[in-house]
Amino acid sequence: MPQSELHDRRKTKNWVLMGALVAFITIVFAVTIIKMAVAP
Amino acid sequence: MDTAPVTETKIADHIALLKPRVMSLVVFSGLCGMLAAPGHINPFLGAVALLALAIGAGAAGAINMWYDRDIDAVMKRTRNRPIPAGLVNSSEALGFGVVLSIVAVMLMALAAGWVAAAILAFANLFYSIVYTMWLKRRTPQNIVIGGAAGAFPPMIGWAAVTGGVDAASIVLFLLIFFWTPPHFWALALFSSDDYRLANIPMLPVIKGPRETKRQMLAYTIVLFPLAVAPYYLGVGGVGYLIASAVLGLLFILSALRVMKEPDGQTRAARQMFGYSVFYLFAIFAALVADGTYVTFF
Repeated sequence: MPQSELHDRRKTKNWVLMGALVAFITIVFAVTIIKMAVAP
Repeated sequence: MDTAPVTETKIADHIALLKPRVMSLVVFSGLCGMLAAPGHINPFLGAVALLALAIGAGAAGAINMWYDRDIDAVMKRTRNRPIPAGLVNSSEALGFGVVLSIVAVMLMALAAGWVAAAILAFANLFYSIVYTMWLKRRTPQNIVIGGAAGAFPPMIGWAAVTGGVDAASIVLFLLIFFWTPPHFWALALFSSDDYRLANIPMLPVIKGPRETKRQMLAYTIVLFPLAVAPYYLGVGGVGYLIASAVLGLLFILSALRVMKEPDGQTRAARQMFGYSVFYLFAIFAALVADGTYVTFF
């Protein structure tokens, strides 16, 4: 089945959403580690 | 009211929902509040706090665009926004805004503590509910009271470092609070036809340009002592005092030029609008350049 522009756009959006979720998880993980390191 | 059926949106349209230009001013003032505050924040935590601030501001912008989609479609200045242009579905925009608001507050709480997160949550709710849904379409004082939402970022940046609120951070809040009316009324003076068309009771539409110009001048005069106050509170140095005084005098002069301009003309109002944006960037830049507590991490 040929890929339509709609499919392409949806695929791009899904990749961006996955990237955003991975970034969010990474940030939360990194913040937690730093907070534990600097905690008195 | 969606103006056209939406099939699949582009990422760029979602970014446009976040009002990137407004976001840049929010991030800049938040960063300046952070740098000017006494104390220290881990650079990574500071960067995450700024990211949360940016996401929070963008989310509030998306919710605003969702609610105002009917009037945005009428006004020339806003009719190309993603929802009235039929590029993003309105309910998708609302979901996008709400999810990002929650993510922003969570990130802020994690990185910078509950005080900064609470102020961010309050600012978002204030902008979305008090300003957008309640005041904007009801009173000519809409942007005076609603302007508080845009005045919180330096206070959030300050709270991210100090963990609290004090006199200096309240002065930074008041600085933006009193800057907002002359800034928006300058815009409204040359866009009053648009606002009239959309039935938004902006001051020039309700009270006319004369009264608007008088009030703009009054706000620039009140702003002057507030802008120099950080020097007397020990947050800014002599360089800041001089810069804020000069910038404040020029702001008053630009308001006087608007006062002198005949009511049918808008050249001075356009120039004042441009200067008001420069003023805010310059005054916060001066605070960082000559701040008493500024340490670049």
